[in-house]
Amino acid sequence: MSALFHITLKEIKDNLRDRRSFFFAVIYGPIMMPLLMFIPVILGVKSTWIDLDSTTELQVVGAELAPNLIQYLRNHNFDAVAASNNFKQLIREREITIVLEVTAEYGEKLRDAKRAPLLLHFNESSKKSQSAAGHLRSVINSYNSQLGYLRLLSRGIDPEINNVIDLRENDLSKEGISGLILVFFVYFIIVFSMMSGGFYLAVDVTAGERERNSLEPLLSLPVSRQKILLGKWLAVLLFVMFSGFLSVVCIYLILSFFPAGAAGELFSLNRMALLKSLLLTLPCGLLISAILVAIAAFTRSSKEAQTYISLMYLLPAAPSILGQFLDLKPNLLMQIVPFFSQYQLINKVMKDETVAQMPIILSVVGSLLFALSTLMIAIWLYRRDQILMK
Amino acid sequence: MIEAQGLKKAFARKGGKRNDAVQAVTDVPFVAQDGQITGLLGANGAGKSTTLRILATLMQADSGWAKIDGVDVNKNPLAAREHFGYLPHNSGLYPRLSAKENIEYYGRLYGLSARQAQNRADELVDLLDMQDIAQRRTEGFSQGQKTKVGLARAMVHSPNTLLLDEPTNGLDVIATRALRKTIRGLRDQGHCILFSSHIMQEVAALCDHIAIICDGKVALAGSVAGIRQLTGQYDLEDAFVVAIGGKLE
Repeated sequence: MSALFHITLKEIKDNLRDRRSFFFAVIYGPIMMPLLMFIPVILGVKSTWIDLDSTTELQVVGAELAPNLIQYLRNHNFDAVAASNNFKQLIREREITIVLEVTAEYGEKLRDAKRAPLLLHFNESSKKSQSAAGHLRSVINSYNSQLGYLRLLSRGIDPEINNVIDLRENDLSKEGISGLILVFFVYFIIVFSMMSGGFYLAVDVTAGERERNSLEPLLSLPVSRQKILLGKWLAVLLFVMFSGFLSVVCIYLILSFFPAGAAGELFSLNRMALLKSLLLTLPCGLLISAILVAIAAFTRSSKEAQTYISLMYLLPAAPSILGQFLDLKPNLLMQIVPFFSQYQLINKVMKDETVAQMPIILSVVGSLLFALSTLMIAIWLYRRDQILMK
Repeated sequence: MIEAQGLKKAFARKGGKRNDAVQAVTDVPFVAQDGQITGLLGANGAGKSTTLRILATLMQADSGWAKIDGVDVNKNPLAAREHFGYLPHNSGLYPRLSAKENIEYYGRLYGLSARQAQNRADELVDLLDMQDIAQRRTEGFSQGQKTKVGLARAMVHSPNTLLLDEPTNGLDVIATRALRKTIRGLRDQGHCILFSSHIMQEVAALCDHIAIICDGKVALAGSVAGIRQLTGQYDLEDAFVVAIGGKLE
């Protein structure tokens, strides 16, 4: 037992001195991945996010023709200013988002109780312009119904007569689109961090050791090959688990340090759910480290190992993609499939749904069984004579 | 002491089947005594490394047997490993560990306590005269320095038998002479040293007993003088050529 422990310790010490291992375990997966995934989404949200409490400047052509409208807009946080002469070009170049143009006939038509034309200039290809236009549209629509209401009242007609149908909307999905993104991100970042965390270490301790010729003398020591492999696996496992843990800390920090508003509205941050997601993914870590070690034991050089392991990055996505593609209705038995089951469980946990015991047990048992079989394969690979060939 | 008889090992050809195999070591009988340096001499690919690997329990022989200090390497590899130290072809050190850490790591794996491993590493550093490099990481060591550390590592558990696979490869003259001196010193302490090489002068300069391997068979075995007598050649190189059935120019 103590030999196994010494091997694990040595591999950890050895690889902490290697900048590449450190980079993959600490920086690449756990820190860079969450940043790369969250920041574009958060920035994207910010660009389309409308703060209803702050006042926005709105360029208007012919503001003097519609004083009441301008007052109404001001009450709804649109501050009208005169539009620049070349506003069309500016919108095209995305310098400004929208311009409202009051037509010359606006006042006259309004007085004649006809439809009074207003012109909204915007840029469909710009998200910011789209969302600003949408915002203005809704304010003007409400102004429109207010005026219509008054017109009917002045003719002694019940304004309700114009409202035939009362459609009420009730969105039953708890999470909405943003929740779905968060679930996928949390799952993907944890699993991806685990893989990249153990990646370099696994390549170094098996394929790399073969390449350096240090495996041969190691195997001539009075320690069984099984113990040597398990010692190495344990070192990889510790790196994998550490990276997984670090990634969750990072997700938490990114989400909590982001300015409230956009991000806060989009991702409701739930510490317990994040922690549960990590715990549910831990059995996956056993499997990931076993796969990494097995691949590295099978390949003859670091280069070969890196190629195979890069392919492995597809593995966590495979069950989810297949599930979507074949439109499988998740049943209990499928909870045995590693990665797939973790995705399902995180999905539930992040949405704050109750998770039954059975799927969790099946998920843990399934991952453990897969991990154990992969580890047996790795041990078998280590016992072959070919382990010494180059 | 090493005794071996009838060792056979077949390798599958690349892409071929096992019965379409290359016979690497066939029928190598020999004895290496304590207090002697035994040279395993042969051309590249003659089967020296495979023989050493079988003795070092890295490979199982298909047939035949070998014993180190009376322990059968095929039947009881873990126990046999306590009795020998193995220095492979390129030392195989860990570049990010210092020379001493390399030695101590093996000490711990041989079951020494942390204190014992440290003391033993200090002893070996003195014995092999490596005070200047002991605390340095082995990355960038010269071949001679690497060989020294590898040798110290192989001796960390004070084994009686040492298996050295071409240890003088890549060493300069001074380093080679220093290594020879060290190896002779170990012999004089009663160690059994098995030393493989394809360099005639090396073997002639160092070994008390020589086994010449050719096509996986021991073509000739004996003392240097004995081999000269048997082949009728004074020059050991000529003796080697005669022994493996070649013709002298």
